[in-house]
This record gives sequence, structure tokens and C-alpha cells, in this order.
Amino acid sequence: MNPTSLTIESARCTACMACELACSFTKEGFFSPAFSRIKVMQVYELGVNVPIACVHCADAPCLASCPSEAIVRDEVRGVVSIVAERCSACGECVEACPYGAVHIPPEQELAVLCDLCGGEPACVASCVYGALRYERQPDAVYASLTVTTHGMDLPQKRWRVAEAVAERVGQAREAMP
Amino acid sequence: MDRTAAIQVIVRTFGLRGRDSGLTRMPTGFCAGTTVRDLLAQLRAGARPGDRLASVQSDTLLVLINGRPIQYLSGWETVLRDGDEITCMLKTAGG
Amino acid sequence: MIRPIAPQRILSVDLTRGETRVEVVPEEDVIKYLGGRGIAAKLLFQRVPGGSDPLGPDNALIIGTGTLTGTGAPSSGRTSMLCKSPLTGLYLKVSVGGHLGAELRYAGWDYLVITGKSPQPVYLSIADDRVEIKPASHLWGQGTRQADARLKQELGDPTLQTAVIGPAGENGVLFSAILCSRFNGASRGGIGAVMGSKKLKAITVQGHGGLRVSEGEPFYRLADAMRHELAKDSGTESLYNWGTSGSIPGLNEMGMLAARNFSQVTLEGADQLSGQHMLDDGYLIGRESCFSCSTACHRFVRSLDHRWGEVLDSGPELETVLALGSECGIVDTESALVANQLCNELGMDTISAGHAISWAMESFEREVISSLDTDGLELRFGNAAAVHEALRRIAYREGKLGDLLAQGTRRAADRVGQGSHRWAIQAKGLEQSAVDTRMAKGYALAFAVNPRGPDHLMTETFAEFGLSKEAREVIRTITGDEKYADPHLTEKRAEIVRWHEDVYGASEALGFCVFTSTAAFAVNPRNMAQLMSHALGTPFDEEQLMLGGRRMVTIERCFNAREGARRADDRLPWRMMNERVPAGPNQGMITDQAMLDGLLNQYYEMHGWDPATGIPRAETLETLGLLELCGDVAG
Repeated sequence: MNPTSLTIESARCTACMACELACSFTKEGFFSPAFSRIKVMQVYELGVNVPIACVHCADAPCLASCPSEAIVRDEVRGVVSIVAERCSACGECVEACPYGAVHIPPEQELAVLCDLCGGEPACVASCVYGALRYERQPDAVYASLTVTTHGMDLPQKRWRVAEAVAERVGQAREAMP
Repeated sequence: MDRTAAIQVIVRTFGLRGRDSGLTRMPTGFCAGTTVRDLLAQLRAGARPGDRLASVQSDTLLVLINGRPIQYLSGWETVLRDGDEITCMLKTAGG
Repeated sequence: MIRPIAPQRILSVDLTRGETRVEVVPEEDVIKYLGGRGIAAKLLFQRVPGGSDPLGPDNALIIGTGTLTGTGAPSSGRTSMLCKSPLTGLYLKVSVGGHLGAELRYAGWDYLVITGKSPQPVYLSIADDRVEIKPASHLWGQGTRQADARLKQELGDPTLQTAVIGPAGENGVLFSAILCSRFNGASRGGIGAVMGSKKLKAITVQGHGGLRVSEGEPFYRLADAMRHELAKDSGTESLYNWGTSGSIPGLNEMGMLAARNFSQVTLEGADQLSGQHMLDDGYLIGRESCFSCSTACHRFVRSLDHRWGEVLDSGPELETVLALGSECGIVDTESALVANQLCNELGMDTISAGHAISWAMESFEREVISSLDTDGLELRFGNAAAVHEALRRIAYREGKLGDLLAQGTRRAADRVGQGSHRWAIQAKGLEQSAVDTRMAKGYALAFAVNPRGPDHLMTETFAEFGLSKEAREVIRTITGDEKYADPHLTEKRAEIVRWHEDVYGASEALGFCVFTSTAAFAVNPRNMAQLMSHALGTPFDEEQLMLGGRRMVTIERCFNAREGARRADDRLPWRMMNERVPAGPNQGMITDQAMLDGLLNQYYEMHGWDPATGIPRAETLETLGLLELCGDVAG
């Protein structure tokens, strides 16, 4: 069985943004972080960088929030995805996701989230630091944190998640590898 | 240390042993005629599994003899002389 | 807006009138001048007339993003910032990393040209095509960290990109800097003072657009291959491990470590300033990349015992720990971290600040200045507290000392006299970076002819050391024989310098970090040209690329000629030309006037410039298609 989401190891991330470039190019054919399904937040003050992408929650709030049943979960593969024809770009899912992992790119009529590129994530291939991996036991550090982001707009929400991760990474810091 | 060695040199490595990036220094004896290539082979033979020395490619090493890069001497075939100070480190760049 | 690579767009801002306007750079100009630094140099030449006051409204601050910046090309996030330098009175280009350039391109802008002077402090807010000049009096006086935080809060976006000056820029310190993306310094030549003179506190950028290259698949495949090639390079690996200050142990061993105002070439304990030490002892807690770069040479550090103050900041780089560390006779890690953080906060160039202080220290030790001149500060080599205090006073031009040093070592030595020019490590008015130009002849020539002054950030001939197979191959390509990969030789230096000038120019025009094309070589003229070809969708070859580099070097030369610079200005600091290397493997070496004259003659001849004046000949300009632009200057 393929892993159902990415492993994200924030401590290795240097904010090179190769992942955002790879993602937008692979999914859209041009280079634009605003269209990328993975967003790297640079918490400058702590020197910690936090990539955020969909972790395909078992009990996905985005799925529950969608009024047109445009978000579905493949129970066999465990992957959440958006059915384009049913999406009206109402923005409920963007509101509902606690991590800011689903968004509507500029001037688009469709919400997007990480679909793991069908099994060969482009971002993983672009990350030379091993901060992004696609492996048997997926783990994204923010998935195990309790972060209150309800009611925040998208940039603020992602920033709050990043700050929470940065604090955690900061606490765990020892000598670098 | 080989007690019948003909020459005494000091070998310093920087960033090549274990996880430590610092300087290790050892007085070592060699036979007359030992080249830099021979020295490196011996250092590698004595390297432990975690040492960068064990895995590093020769071309990425900066080897200095008395402060001069071996490229300006006879490269890997440069013969060591009594009293030489040989420093091995990874090449670095930048400004 | 998803745009193609060309044509390109200029946002011109007149701060006197408070007006903005949009201009277009046609595709044929992008091909001829390459974009980035190339087009920016052309704009500077056209828009800042000879004799303009660098701190007056006629000076322009021009930001030129790389033509490939914002695409997936690896390490292509570098941005050029140009103006007439208030420190030297000559051409100035500074290069800066971080993420500002990419954000600007996503906002839909390739160049910013800022002229005039605002009556009140303002900041420029760019959010895609919404451009506003906003009040900044409430920010004036703030350090760069505070101002950046305040702007993000005010605009409600913690991820926006900023370019900010600190108190040093506001106060017209002639080596003040612009801090971009929090801690990336656009630092040399007083570019911060130019921004300050316009009462421009900051630029904020938010971009939500994108870039579409013409031949996407082949572009991405090549870019991706180059990215992975770079990641395997050993130079890249050591930059990741230890940063630029990883060179320190090697430099010390090779007797090339600038210490005590370049009066020494080794320093006991200098390893304390190295990247290796910062990693092993726990100072290093993070590594940062510029946009699209997989090297991550930038450091993020903390202080440990906080003996000189608390530090949590990015840096320091090699030149910083040399200028503010070994050049001041200090090998204390904590001191170097604090000094770097101070320069970030106050917004100052570390190379010039460090060498202004080391000049003052030597002057003090020689009793040419006294504690009357230093307002009581014991400016002796090794006095770390004095370095930190001096930095604060310089930023605020406080007292006799602060005001004296804020003008740079050339003017300071003018004021103090008593032969103090002999230990001012400057030429053209710019403090030299800490490379020993007595033993490395390619560096010596490159530094002497550098239009902004003697440093390594416009043409660094690192390959002449021949330390890697690739470097020796480059030297062989340029000269025909690997044996010329020897920095002690004077033969073939003109060829080597010219190649590097062209490659530097081309790299910077496209946005590439020069580490990737002149320290490592995985980015090279061939693959740069291929990427351009795929990006533009028209044939574009190596020769066109090198020609573009050649053109910008020539325009830069013409700018300086118009300002009155001549052959006599192409020189090195007095110490490099008159005092031999005192010790170590290079003992006795020097690059004196006779040697430099020989190198210059070769160099001018090769460039087609008049050897008496150093001014490009009319025929040379014509061959390059620059006669119309620069013809008035021709000798």
C-alpha cells in the first residue's frame, strides 16, 4: 500500500522553495508559488522553515464542510481529492482545513490540494535535503500538534501552524547533523 | 608507529574524523619515499566507519604541505620530507 | 498574472512627485543585454547623468531581478541593485539573495527604478499591480528587524518580502546597507545611504502571479538535472556543512588569513571564527537557502554564553568574521556573532565597517589618533567591546569617532593624515575584501579593475587556484593549458579575468548565484544559454551569453569613465602594493605598481580599451553595438 501523505521534516528544510516550483510546474505547467499545493513558511525569527501540505486526514474537515460533495476520500488508498466538476470554489474547505493546506489559487474557480502526484510526488524529487519524503510511515510534524486556527484567514492560519511547529523544533534543537 | 621510520612528519586533518569538524593532529613516522598518495591510503586504512575520511573522494580533499596546496608541488606523487606538516581538509569555497 | 520571460516590465517611481509609471523592455533588449544586471546597468547609464550627487534626487536606485529568477532554474534567485555610490562616486552594483527578487517577479515586475526624493519618510508597497507610496515616519529610526515586523503587521501579511534600511542608512553612513528578506544584505558602497537620502525606509512586495517559460518540459528537465548536479558538488557540500566561513582553517594554514588590518596573514586561534567551530560547538542551529537554491550556505546562529549579548540571527559570512574578527585582532566567536547581528540590525556593510574599525585600531596603536579622537574608546586590536561600541556610534554618526568612520577609510585617512593612507585597506574609496591580492595575481587584476572597487563580488577568479578538476578544466578552456591554474603566475591573468567578468555578468543577469558558476561549475555558459533558449523559445547560444556579459562590463566601464575614473584608479590598497607578505608560504610576495602595470596593459589591450586612460575605444563600442548608448564617452 502506498503511503497516504508526505513525511515532512521541518528541521531539514532550508526554504529553498524547490518544492513549490516543482509542484506548480508539475500541476499547472508554470512557476508560481501561489498555485503550489505545498507552501513553505519561513519563521525568520527562529530560523525554522515549515512546509505545509495536505495530510489526507481520516476525518477530513474539508470533506465534511463541502456543500457540493466535491471532496472525496478514496478509502482504499486513503487519499483525499477534489472532484473538479463539482467544485464551485465556495471556499468552505479553505475555511475548514486547520492547516491551510487547501486553497483556491488566484483567479481560479477550483480549490486544490496535494494529491501526491499519483504516487511520485514532484516535490519529494526536488528536495535535496530530505526534508520531504514519501515513505511507509508518513509524518508531518504539525499533524500531531493542536493548533487553534479557526476563523483565521489563509496566510494567518498557515503562519500560526508554522509558528507552532517552529516552537516545537526550537525546543528539540541540539547540535545539527 | 613504525619505529624504523626514516622520516617524521606531522599530519593534521580537519573535518575528516568522526562527526567532529575540528582539527586532529598526530606526529607520524613514515619510510623515506612515502608520497602523499601513500599517506592518504594509510589514513583511509586507519579510518573508522563514521569518519568522512573513509568515504570522501580524493579530488574533494585539499592537501597542503607546509601551507602549500599539493597542486603546486607534484600533486599526489609529492614525496614527503622529514619535518613536513601535512594538512588534509575538505575543499571549501566562498567569500 | 502568469507572464512569459520576455518582454520585461519596469516600475519607475518618482519620489519627488509621488508618481509611478510602467515601462517595457522589449525582447530584443533582453537578448542583447541579458536582463537583470545587464539591463539595470544600461538604465543606470541612461538615467543618472555624469556628476550627479549620489545622495541627491538625481541618483537612481535600480533593482534588477534575474531573467530566470522565479523559475525552477537552480540557485537563480539573486537580484542586482544598482546606483551611483556615495562612498566611491562611481558605479555600484550589489548582489543580494533571499526571496525578494522572486517575489517582485511574481508581482509582475522585473525592474524597479526609484528616483527623486520624498519630502517625508515613506515606504513603497507593491502588491501585484497595486503600487502605493505610504507614510513611514512611524518607522523612521527603527532597526531593520523591528521595521520588518511592523510592516508585516501593518499590512496583515507575515509572509511578505521586505527591503529595509536601518538607522545607518537613515543617517547617511557611507557604507550602510539594505537588508532584504530579513537578513540578506545588499550591503556595499553605501547603497543604504542612497535609499535613506530619498527618505525611503522600505519596500514591501507581495506577488501572486507566476512565470511561464516557452519550452517547459526541456527547461524543467535541464534545470532539475543541474540542481542535482550542484547538490553532488563537494564545494556545495562544504558550503552546506560549514558555510563560507568554512574556508578559515584552510586560509590560516595557507598563510592567507587577513589579520590585524592586513598586517598579518595568520592568526592564532582563528579556528574559533570558522564554520566548523560554529557547527561543532552548537552555535549553528539552522541553514537557510536563497530562493530556488539547494546549497543552503546561509547560517542561522545563536550565542551560547551571551557574554557580549544575546544573538539569534542569520550569518555570519566569511568576510564578516574576517573584517569584524581577525582584522580587528579578535578570535572570539561570541563577539563575531554580536558584531554581525549589530550590522544586520543597524543596516551596515560588515566588510567596510570592519575595515574602518581595523584602520582606526592601527591608527590608535600607532598613536596617530588618540582617545581624544575616539571619544575615550580604547581602540586597540583585540578589544571586542570597542568593536561593538564603535559599530553603534558609526550607525548614529555619534561623536568624533562615529562621524569620522561613517565616511569610510579613504575620507577618514584624508582627515587624519599622518600617512594613515598607508594602512587604509581601500582603493577607489571602497574597502577591500580580505583576500590577499599580493599572492593571487588573477584576484589582484580583477580587484584593481573592478568598477565598484577592490572586492571579489564582481569578478572572483577562484578557478585560478586550480583546486578541483573542474577548476583546472576551466583554466584549460580559457588559456589552453592547465599549468596556468596557479595564482602566483602573471601570465594569462587577463584572459582569466575576462572570462570571469563575462561569466559573472551573465550569471547575475540571469539571477544565478556565482558560487554555482565560478566556485562550483555545474552552472556554466553552455547550460545557462540552453536554459535561456528554452525559456525564450528562440535560439540562444553561449556566444550570445558571453557577449551579453561583455556588454554590461563595458557599460559599467563607460559609466565610470564619464565620472572621471581613469587608469590611475585601477589599483589596489597601498599595503597590497607596497608591503610584502610578512610570513608563511607566500612570504615576500607583492603586487607592486610595475607588476600591476603589466597586468593592466594585457587587460586593456584584450578589452580594446585605450591603455593610457582605460577608456573603451569607439571601435570596441561599435563592435559590441554600444556606440549609440555610450559613444560620447569613448576615448
